[in-house]
Amino acid sequence: MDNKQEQHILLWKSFKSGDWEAYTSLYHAYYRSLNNYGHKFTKDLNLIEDAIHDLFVSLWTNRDNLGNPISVKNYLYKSFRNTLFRKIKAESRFFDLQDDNSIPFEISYDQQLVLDEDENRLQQTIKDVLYKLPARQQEIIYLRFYDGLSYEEIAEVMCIHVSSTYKLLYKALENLQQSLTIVSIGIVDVLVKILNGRTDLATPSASNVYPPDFY
Amino acid sequence: MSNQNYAQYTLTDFLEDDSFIQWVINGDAKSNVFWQSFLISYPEKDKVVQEAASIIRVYRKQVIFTNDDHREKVWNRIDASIPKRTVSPTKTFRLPLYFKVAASIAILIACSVMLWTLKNNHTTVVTTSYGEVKAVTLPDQSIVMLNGNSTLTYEDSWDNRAAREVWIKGEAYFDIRHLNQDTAFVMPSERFIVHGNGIDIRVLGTSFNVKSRRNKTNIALLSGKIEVSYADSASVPSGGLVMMPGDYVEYSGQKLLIKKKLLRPHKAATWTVREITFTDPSLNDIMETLQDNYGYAINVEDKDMMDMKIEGEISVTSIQELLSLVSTTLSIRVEESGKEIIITRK
Repeated sequence: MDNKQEQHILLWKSFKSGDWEAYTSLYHAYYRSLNNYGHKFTKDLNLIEDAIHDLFVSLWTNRDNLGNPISVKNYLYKSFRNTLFRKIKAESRFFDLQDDNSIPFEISYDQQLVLDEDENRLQQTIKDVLYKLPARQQEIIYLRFYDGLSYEEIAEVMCIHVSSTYKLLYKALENLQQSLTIVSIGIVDVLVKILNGRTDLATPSASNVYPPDFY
Repeated sequence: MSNQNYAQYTLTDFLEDDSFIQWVINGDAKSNVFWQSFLISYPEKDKVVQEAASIIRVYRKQVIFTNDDHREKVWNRIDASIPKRTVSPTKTFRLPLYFKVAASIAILIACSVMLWTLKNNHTTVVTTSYGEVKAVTLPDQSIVMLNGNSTLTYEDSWDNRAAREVWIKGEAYFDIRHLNQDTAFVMPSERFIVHGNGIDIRVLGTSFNVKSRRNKTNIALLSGKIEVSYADSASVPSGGLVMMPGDYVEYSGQKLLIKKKLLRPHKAATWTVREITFTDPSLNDIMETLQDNYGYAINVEDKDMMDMKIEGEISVTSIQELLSLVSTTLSIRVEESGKEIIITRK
């Protein structure tokens, strides 16, 4: 991971000094993850592709004025998100022009993917909880658990304060935890089974699976 | 990262922790060592750690939209939107003489440095003294924990065309970086071979413990998959013994003595956190470890005593603790004087 980041910083530097090859490499390195991220906000491929197009054209045109970001991924995510949001808002009359919160964020799970029964049930619980969360909280969870960004990085990408990131994620996790408790009988079984598949611990009784402060 | 803080962590705390998330997502060798040793020190945290990890793993099993079909199309659009790049005409200009001289000297130096490094393709030898445990980072960032009185040998630089190879004498715990991307095709440099005592262990990326002492080799596999073969057998692919996680094997020279499933495979690596553990050991097993890892001389009144066995698990943090435990459990007298242990009947 670190190696990749460093490698991309080097690509960024060569691109800034006018290296077309480095620029091409950056496009290919981020094409997939930008599409994946964009697809959570809108299913309209034209909007996503337009945003990627605009982002990369403006990168090349403004390369002399670009700084050296700490992380290339962060910089690209942030710029891509801004560009895409502008397009989504312009496209639709339904979204409030001032309010980013009105833009949805949806992840989806593949029905074809073969999961075992236990993973399936855990996934169902996660889905139930996530789909009820406000879009921005879902986005934070995605950036955190899928892309592995830190609070600071998420704050930068989403243009919010670091403290808000903490708060939003905490709320989201609290929601998740509460739902896990509500369905605890079911979920405890699931977790215990998953655990036993991985470790050699004796099966704990349902009541001591969570630490005392969990309830 | 501090063990102490994590010991207080709840499910939510783990899900909020940067290095925990990085470990679940990327799982590199360094964090594997950290979290495995954390779980050894705080086994009561195992459940909550696995729960948090399952939540992240299951969350990540979502649909990935790659839009690969349009990759070229979008690129062509970008390319078309960017004004034609002017290729700067190649200029010819004369170099001043002193520059030429300087350049040729530089080339000469560069060549001799290259020749020198080629000739001196150095190997690194890491040796531990009795009772010492060392962490070694290999050129590919894989991590090896070396137990006392052991030697690890490897070449300084690993090139991309050959397998990664190390030689071990003594005991070591390996956490190998997984380089293979395409399981259908394994590049030579993605292979990792451990040579010890007539036994070769071939791995892709995994963690395991090897003990190669007294012409005996034992291997405990914690995660991943490895293949064990004899050093002199021509390297026939898949001609060896394939081990799965939790498997344990013991060889005497090149003869397979024991193959069994370990109940608690991670116990095999507890020495990496300075814990001395045994499962159903004989007095002989314990004394051999004291000789091999800590350099004690053993003086026993009656050889038959060495066959006495302690049933169950022993887990101690010091030799003094171990000796007093052995003495009370087997009701024998065990005295330590300097680097000698004297065992007599009571």
